[in-house]
Amino acid sequence: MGRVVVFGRVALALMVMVSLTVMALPRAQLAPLGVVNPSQAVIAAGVAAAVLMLIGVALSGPAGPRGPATLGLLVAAGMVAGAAVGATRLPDFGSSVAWLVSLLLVPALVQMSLAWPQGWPQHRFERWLTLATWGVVGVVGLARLAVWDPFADATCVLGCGANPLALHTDPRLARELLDALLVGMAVACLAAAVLVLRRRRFWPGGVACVVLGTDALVRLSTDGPLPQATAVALHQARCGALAVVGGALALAGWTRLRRHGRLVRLAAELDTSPAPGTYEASLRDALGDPTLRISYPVSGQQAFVTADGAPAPAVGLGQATTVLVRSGTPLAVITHEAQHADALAASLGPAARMAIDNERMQAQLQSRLDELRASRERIVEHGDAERLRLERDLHDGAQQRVLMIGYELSRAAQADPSLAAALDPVRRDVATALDELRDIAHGIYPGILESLGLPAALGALADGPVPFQVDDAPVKRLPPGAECAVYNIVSTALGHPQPTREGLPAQVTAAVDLRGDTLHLHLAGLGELPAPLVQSWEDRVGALGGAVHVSGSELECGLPCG
Amino acid sequence: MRAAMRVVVAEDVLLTRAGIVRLLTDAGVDVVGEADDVDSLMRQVRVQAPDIVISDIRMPPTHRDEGLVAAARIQREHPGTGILILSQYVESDYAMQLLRDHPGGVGYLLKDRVFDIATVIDALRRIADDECVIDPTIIRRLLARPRPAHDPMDSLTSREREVLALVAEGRSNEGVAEALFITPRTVEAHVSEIFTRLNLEPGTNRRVMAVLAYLKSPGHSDSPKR
Repeated sequence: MGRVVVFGRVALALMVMVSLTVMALPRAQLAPLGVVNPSQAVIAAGVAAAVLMLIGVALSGPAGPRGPATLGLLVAAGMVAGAAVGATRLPDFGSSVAWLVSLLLVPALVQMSLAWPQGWPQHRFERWLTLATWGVVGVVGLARLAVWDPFADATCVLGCGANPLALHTDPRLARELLDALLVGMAVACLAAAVLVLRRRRFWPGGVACVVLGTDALVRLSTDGPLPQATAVALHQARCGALAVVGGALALAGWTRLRRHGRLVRLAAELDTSPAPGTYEASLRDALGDPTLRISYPVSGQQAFVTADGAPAPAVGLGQATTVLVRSGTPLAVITHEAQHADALAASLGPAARMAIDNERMQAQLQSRLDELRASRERIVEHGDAERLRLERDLHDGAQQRVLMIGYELSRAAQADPSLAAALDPVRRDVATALDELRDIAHGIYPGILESLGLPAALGALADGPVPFQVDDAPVKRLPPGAECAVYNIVSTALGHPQPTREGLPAQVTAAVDLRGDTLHLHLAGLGELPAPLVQSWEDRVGALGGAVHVSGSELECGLPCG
Repeated sequence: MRAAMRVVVAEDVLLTRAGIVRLLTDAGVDVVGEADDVDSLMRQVRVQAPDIVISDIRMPPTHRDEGLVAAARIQREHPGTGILILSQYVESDYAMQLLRDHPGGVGYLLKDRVFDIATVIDALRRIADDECVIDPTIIRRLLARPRPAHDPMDSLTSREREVLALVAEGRSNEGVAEALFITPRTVEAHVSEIFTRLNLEPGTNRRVMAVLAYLKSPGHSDSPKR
């Protein structure tokens, strides 16, 4: 329910009360006549009780026909009508109707007290008592109104004019019916009070029932008008008790509204899945603390991460921390300016904790993903670095030593020409060994890729058995991981060219270009590719955050290299 | 007989450097300095003013292309100094990069070419004569590249291919004639025919570069100019 509707109802209730108070004021002006002397306090108490009751009704929201709010409305109507009876500005007809309406007070209060917090009692006896109260008060009240003549009534003190609703006036019968009515009210109220108070349910209702029952008993036991002191005391007791009932009703309504509002907000939040860090931002705005940060522990580690999974920054100077704990383990650490500690603690309700917990899980997941990706990248980089080291070792070690042997053989042959013929086959073997070593070293890591970069390294692949053309390649040097991945894909893909009709391999073409921070490789003219090979490309490129897509004789690969 | 050539040898692996130096000395070359990185090489060049610098490609600190970088510096700071790169790498791009910077007076040989010291001495002479020298193994690999159908290379006779290979190695017409035991005029006719067929600019003074570039880029299926 919208706040506007609630405040609208409250305003309406206040307006009704103000107008009724104005109507009731002439009662105070009757004081000098000595008939009755209700003080301003008495009137104020009545007004306050009715206002509280109506506010309670207004806040209770749409309660349905049998809700406590409806009953509260009937109680309030009874109270207002009771105050209006005999108001000098009311015509006789109005006064009679007001008396009839004022009868609502007791049965409505009894039902409300017995049924709280619902609108209809749960127990059979209570239901029976409720129905009996409504029946007795309704039947006897109507009967009394039908024969009542206020002018002839000795107990009448105010507005004792005519009763236009009377069918046949009979003061004696009216007096007896009034007594019966008071007996019925007293019995109903006191029985309800006993039931309510013994079961410790709606104690304000129970107390009000006691007061109304006592009121009825006092009136029953008094012949003629009540003494003024007694009348004022009873009136004040009634007002007080009903004010408490109204307050209880208002409190219940307010609690319900707040819960409803929280649920609506939470539902709205849950409806749109928030981006990481949303809660941190809203908390920052709410507290006006731009330094506020929420960090989350990564399970199994001492580290803390922010909502997007990045490592959390250290706590700054002059900052305080608030730790959210669930069953002994920290859920989140909020760092903030020290003066906001109290406001922060107050704002961390169950919904906030749920949002934070949700963000914590997202942050942990993101952190794990980041770590996994970094780990894959490190594995690939480490592998490349290791191959490069091997190639260098081979180049600077074994290859040089074999070269040295060749040089020494050459010198020996020159020094003694008679040995030359015998040494020739050995020198050829040494040359072959060098060729083979060179191929092995190149296979481990192409030195040209490291020294001259991708275009030269790709261009050299055309020396192989498959016709190969590089259409385009960026001259700019790229991260070694990206260069290595592209070279690796192209060099291995060249082992699987598309066969032509003559059985010769078709030409494979490669195009590499850098669009923004993404390196694109396009290969055309490929034949059937073994699944493990494609998988190895996907692993290598995936480790660098890129993707490979093979379709037919073509391959597309995108690699971030910012 | 000319005066002995004065060379500086740059090579970071001591064993290899010693081997090369001994072979060169045996063959009558005057090794006036040795270096194991770019800085010491530049110092030697400044102090000794050699005819030719013989250098490895990979040297400290990065072991990437220090030899080529040093060659560019030497050409800039000491023009007229010949460069012979001795390398383990058969990829033509290294040689091409060298040629791109210096049209003459440079050479690129594989280290095992030194087994036949006569080849090295011949290369040093040609570099001193401002010719260029490319290792035959590299040219053989380029010529052996698979080519698409109808490539103009297919129309060359085997003698023309021989001439083409020698031209690519950096030999002059006289050099080609000497190697194939034919007259320089015949070589001239072959070269002219080859260049026409391959659609290359004849008479260029950078003909080695032109031929290498041709051999490196496949897909010349257009009919040549006649």
